Amino acid sequence: MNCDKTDLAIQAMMKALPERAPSAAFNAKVLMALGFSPKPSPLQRWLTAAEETAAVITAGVLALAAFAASALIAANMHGLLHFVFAPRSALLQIKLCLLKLWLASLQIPAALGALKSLALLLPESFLPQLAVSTVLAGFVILAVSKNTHGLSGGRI
Amino acid sequence: MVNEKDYQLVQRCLQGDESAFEELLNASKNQIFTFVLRMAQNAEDAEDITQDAFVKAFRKLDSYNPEYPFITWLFRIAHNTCVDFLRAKKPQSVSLDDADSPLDVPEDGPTVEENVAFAFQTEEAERLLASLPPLYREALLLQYREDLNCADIAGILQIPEGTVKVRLFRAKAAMKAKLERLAGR
Repeated sequence: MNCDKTDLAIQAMMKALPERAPSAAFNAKVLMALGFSPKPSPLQRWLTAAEETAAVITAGVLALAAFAASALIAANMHGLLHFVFAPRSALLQIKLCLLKLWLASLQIPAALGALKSLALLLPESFLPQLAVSTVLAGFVILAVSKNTHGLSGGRI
Repeated sequence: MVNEKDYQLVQRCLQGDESAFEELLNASKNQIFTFVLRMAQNAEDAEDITQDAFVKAFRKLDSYNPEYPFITWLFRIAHNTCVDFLRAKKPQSVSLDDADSPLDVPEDGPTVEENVAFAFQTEEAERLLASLPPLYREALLLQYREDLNCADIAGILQIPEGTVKVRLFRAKAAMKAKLERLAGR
């Protein structure tokens, strides 16, 4: 066997060796070592956006529900005032008020906790999500109020 | 002659363009990792060495000479990082004595080509290559896998061209001897 043939044979053998690849995290590790911040994966970006949008939608719906509730209270103010100032025993009124205050105070820590976790989920700039959520919440309330209106006979 | 594509990418990197770093990484990481893996013989070590080599290269990008291909410059850094690693791990594995000691080269035999077919089975070929001293292994990989000429290899290994030729001759002789032994078993 001559040298050229040996060379060619060894060359062919070396060429046939497969190429290997480093792990999937290799680029991120090198870029981090160079001081670049790691990029979130597309899935992570989507999950974060979905989480933020859900938080803002929930906040929007809660705000609108609070507004609707206050409107309801305002509309029924006469009845409520009548109930509060009805000629009953003053002691009973005071007991009723204290009971209501105690029940409300029980809800305060839970409500604050829920608001805090909602606030943590909100992104720094959430105006686009807020706009979308307001529109969506508006549609939901409109649809619900139309149905209610329809059930009560409507105005034809 | 300036390698325009490499030059443009390096310029973008020097301006802090992260995507250019990624482009350079993606274009060369497998080639460098494969070379380092066959030198280090361990995937974890190879990944650490390759990472170290790229970080060193990217930090010294301003010293890259676009007259030469970027990959050749990377191979040089990878080689130096590899040698440092192997010296720290097993000082005897990169002893210059390995390269300069006389090698018992057997007479030409008729069975080498036939047995190359056997060695083509990847595992056997990898085993044969791994059994060579690192300096011979490195020379063979750079010449036959990376298609580099003796001058480029000399630049990467920072040794005279004559020494590269000697190492290649001894590497091929050693490989041939191993193939012959394989035929006899």
